[in-house]
Amino acid sequence: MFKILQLLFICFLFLSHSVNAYDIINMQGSLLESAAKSPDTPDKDSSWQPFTGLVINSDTSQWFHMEIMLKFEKGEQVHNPLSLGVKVSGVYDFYWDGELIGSNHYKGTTANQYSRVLIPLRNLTPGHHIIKMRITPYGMNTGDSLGLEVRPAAVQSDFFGVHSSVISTFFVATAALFTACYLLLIRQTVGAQPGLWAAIFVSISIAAIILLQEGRQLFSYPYGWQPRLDMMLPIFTIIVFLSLPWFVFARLGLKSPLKWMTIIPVVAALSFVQLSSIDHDIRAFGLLSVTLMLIACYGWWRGLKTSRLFVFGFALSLTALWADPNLKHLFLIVITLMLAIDLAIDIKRRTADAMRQKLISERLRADLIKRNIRPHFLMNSLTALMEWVETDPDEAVEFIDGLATEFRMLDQFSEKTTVTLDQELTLCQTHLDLMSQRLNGTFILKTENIDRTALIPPGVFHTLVENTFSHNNLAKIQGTFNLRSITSGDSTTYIFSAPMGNLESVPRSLSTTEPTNRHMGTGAGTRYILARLEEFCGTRFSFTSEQVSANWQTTIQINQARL
Amino acid sequence: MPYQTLIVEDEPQVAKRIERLTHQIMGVQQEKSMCAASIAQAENILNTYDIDLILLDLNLAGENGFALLKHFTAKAAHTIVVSAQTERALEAFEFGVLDFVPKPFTKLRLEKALNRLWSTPENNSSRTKRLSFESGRGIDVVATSDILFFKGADKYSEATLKNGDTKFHGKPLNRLEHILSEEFVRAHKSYLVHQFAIRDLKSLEGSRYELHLSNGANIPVGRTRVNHVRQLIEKRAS
Repeated sequence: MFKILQLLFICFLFLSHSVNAYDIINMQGSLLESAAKSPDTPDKDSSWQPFTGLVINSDTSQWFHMEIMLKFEKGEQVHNPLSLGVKVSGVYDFYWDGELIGSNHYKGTTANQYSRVLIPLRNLTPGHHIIKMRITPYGMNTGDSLGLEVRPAAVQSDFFGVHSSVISTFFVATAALFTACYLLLIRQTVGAQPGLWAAIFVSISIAAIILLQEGRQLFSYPYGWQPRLDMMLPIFTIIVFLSLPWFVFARLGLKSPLKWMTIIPVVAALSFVQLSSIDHDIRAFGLLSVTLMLIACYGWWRGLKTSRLFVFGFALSLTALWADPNLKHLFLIVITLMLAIDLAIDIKRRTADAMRQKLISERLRADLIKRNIRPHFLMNSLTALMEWVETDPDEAVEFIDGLATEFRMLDQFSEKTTVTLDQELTLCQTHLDLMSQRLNGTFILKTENIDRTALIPPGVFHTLVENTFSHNNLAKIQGTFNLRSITSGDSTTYIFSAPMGNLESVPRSLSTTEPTNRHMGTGAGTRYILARLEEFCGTRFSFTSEQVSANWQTTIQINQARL
Repeated sequence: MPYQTLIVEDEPQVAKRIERLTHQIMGVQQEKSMCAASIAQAENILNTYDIDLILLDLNLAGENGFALLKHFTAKAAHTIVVSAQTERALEAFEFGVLDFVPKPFTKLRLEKALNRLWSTPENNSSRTKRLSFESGRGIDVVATSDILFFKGADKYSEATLKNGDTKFHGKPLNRLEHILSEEFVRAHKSYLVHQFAIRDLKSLEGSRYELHLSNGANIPVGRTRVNHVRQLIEKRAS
């Protein structure tokens, strides 16, 4: 007889002593219970049906009518307006004791699912009150659940109301946005890092998801925005779903993150398997966390960096998901914190590395400058100079000139991290000329098949030349040094050969030291060369030093693939 | 007494300078001067000639300065170190070198070092704490505080240690006395005794004297040295 389906809600909400504590009371569950028990149940038309909490008809030409009865104890003082949080799709009018208190005044194919209706303070007087609702079920399906919440109005009317969901919402959203900003800052200052963009996407998406999900209860925005906002939610969810694993794989340093990414569609597909009543997105995030945690465990087993953080992080995120499955706040907080902690650790390590590298560079620089004031070289040169000054001033002048040339070149070299082979060989020749004059001998440097424009770290061959004089019992006054290079593909091999002193028989009391130590190997010179090569090309080099017949041969291979 | 000197130096200009300057300084006192650019050469010369003074570079290429120091201070000759490694000076003095001349050096500085050759032991403020002895196994280093006395034996000296061992040192008693501190007293032409090894001074028949040492040994005291020894003992008692 009525084209309108009438649905009856009868509610007795006893806003007892806790009114001022602003408890959120979900009326849906307690309604039935109260309705059954309450002696105050008003008699109603038999066409009204008891509330099941579900939409029983999705015919949009029909209207729901709902009634809620509220009862305030006498003497109860209510100081703040209350609001009804309404989780109803459709267009509605709300009446309080017959007076219109809320209406969304819009019609559309889908409606704003979440909205609020303010109950003015003046209406909250002791006694019974009836809230009537008139709702069309746009966008609702048969079997959808309806929800009503009474909240302190402050929560929904401004940002500063103190409520846990507000705090956690803003905390997570702000934390996620801060993390995103921090990561962008890192991108600008430190430069590209593995997984950095993925982390930025994850944090921005987490902020967006939270604001989209919670914002509809916190912000007032036009009714028509909701469909578009609802469309954005899955997009951001997918971004998190793709970026988070990519971030984890990249941070773990897995060899081929793309191959590992093939797991993700499987996880996504699995999440569609309805195992329980858990929401689909919770299942998806839960499965993703489990998968990533297992991969992090594998990384731990393989001894990969940051794997432990991820194992614990995802374990914690799963706990958070279990503890608070609906809001996902805790889960997302944990994920955000994990990103931030991982990158903070990374930055710390990078800063330490950079400091160390700077220190090494400074030390190498100092080493190069110091080279010519080492006592063995300088004092012997000065002694020789004293002798020439007293006996052969022309010779002295020539020596001073050579010394000045070498000092000047070393000073120039010390400002550089690379020099051309030509510059390096000129420095070597200068040193050889000096030593020839000082030792009254003839030392020459021959080269074979070398590219004089090739870049090398400064002072490497100079060190080898110098080592020959300071560590080698070079009693002979003649010697030929030889440098040749072999290029194959991306790698260049330099073979440097230095004359060896006559390792004549040494008295037993002196022969305690190993022959290799008597030459070169673990000394300061070799350390300098290794440090310079590392500074020059990381680990893409090899260095060997050994005796080959009457010469001491040093082989340096540099892989220039990415230089 | 004319001296024979050996310069152990692998830098020809430096060797030339030392040779030229020692010649100027020592003049007629220098009987012979030789140079060695390596240890092997030095060994040959030391085995062939009676070298009185070694002018030693501690940075002989490829060699460990400490080993060189131990090796050459065990020889009969006095050692003067001429080196750029000034950080080794203290160590060198502890091994009983006459002087440490840092490079580069002037004639004046070398002269000061060479003067120590003929400075009387009384003026010397020795810092010798260790002596190296050549042995069949190589070089043994002994703390001077572990030595009770030296006995002159031809060109060598025989040291008796606290632990009862005896060791031969390449230097004659005179040279040892020169480099050792005042803790050692020349009680007799053939004996150099550590003061703290002396228990008492005994007079024997015929105005002869004898020192009783802590290890039970008795050593004669020269007539001319009795007073000096007695004074030392009295000084120690007070």
